[in-house]
Amino acid sequence: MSNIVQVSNLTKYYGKKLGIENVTFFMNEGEVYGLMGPNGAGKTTSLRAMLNLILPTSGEAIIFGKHFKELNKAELSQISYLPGEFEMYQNLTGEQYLNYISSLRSATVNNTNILAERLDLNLNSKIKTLSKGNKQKIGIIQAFMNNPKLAILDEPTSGLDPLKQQEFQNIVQEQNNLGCSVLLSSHILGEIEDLCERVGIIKNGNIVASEQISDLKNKTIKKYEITFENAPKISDFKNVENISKLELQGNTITLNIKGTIDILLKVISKFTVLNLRIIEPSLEEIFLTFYKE
Amino acid sequence: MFYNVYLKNLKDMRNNLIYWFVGLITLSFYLSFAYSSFAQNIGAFDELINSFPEELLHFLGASDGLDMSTFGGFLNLEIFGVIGPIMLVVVGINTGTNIVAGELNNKTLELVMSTPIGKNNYLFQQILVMITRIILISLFIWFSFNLFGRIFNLELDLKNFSATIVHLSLLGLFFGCLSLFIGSLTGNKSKTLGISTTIAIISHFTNSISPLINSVEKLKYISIFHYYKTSEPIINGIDISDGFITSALCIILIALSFFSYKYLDLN
Repeated sequence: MSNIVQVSNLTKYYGKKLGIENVTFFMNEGEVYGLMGPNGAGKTTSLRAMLNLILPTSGEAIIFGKHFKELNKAELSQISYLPGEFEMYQNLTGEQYLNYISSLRSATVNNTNILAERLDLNLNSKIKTLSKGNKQKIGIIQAFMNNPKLAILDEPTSGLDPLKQQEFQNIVQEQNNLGCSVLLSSHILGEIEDLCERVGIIKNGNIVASEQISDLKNKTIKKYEITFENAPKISDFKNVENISKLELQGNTITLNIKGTIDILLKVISKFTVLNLRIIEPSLEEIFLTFYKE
Repeated sequence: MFYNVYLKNLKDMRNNLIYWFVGLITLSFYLSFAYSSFAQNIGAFDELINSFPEELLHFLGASDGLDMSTFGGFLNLEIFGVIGPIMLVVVGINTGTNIVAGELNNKTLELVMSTPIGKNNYLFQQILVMITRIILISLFIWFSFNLFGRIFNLELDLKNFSATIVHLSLLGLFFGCLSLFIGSLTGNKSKTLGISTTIAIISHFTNSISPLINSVEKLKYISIFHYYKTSEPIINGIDISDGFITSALCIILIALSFFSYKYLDLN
């Protein structure tokens, strides 16, 4: 599987103020990749720098195997972008705006009406009369109307109701099945967990992790609940590395461990174990772990 | 109508141009009617105005005195002295500001620039829109005064009147290019409007005041208004050197705009 996006050491300073520093990640072709982080972490700056909308201080973005600046018109037309702060020309109707963007992309495919129907949107209304949610639907439509090869979406479900958020996820999955790679930036962790195989976690302008969600889960703190035939002593676990929140209630011990559990297994093997339950962390817990560090 | 940036923006300004056309037709009708009404007593009026102090005549944009005996002279005072330059400067600054700084302020530029259009192509098409708008409004002025001049049988030297319109268009275009450059440099609408307007006001007063004070007389050459009207195109026709200087400044500002826009962060 080849890389459709390779971002290396992307750095942006606004004067002396840091925007992002050494942002590095890659996306496989056909992948849905999530960029997670709270507001102000550097997600939008990373996407803008990737697309050369802001000029990076250093670093590079390689898309479709080429430096972004070297992409030709046909290749650029296969990239769609939904900005986080998305505004349109108020005097146009939704249909006029989408036709305009489609023309600028010189697109040959246009799925506008199908997508509008799915998102329950009337395209004949003037944009200035639309609610925030309906404007966001136009943003989503323009992102997928021309069957892009790469869709870059910054906070795509902002302002959408839960039903339409679900429909958005369906659209992303269908487009992905058709071969569209999706880079999804969001601070809504459930959305990323539902759609993405891999994620990058961005903190203070730096990528602090970029891995499969399952690998992240393995590396981060897991909660164990072990029920013994005879209760052990707390001190029996003193040699277990990276242990926290150790509690004994009756014959059941609960504890958190980050990383390998080899020593834990050696310790508990000395006792008769009746039950062992491993509670996987949610993406939200993983995210919070990175942000507390 | 939505195939490219040029056509889209032409459509956007359609209503605005209709308002301009109606406004200018009304203004030209009113002024032509007014002039035809007091044309018989124009000699006394002329004497009165020419008794004004030289300083006041400079502020009125009539440094060489006023000849109200012709419709052209009347328009030179009423239209090309203050109202016309204000109209075209406002149109120029407004249009030039909106190309980059206005679109950034409205947050509409980011998505457009994520398409394959490219920064140079976008700017090129928007400059064409600006030139089209300035030319159309100038043509409305030309057409409406010609129309009512004929209807009210007022003599108007078509060649010199057209020459003045060309000078006026170049003045508007200069401020459009200036605003475009400041907008491409700062990306900030308020700054662009503020700086452009300040330059326009200072430039106007520099041209009006500096010829009256010997020690700063040469400052008039740094004012764009000097190249607009000092040669009195309504009497002498197009001044090639003034037209050339204004056009050259426009080209330089456009070139600088392309350069600064290339390095402007669209955020």
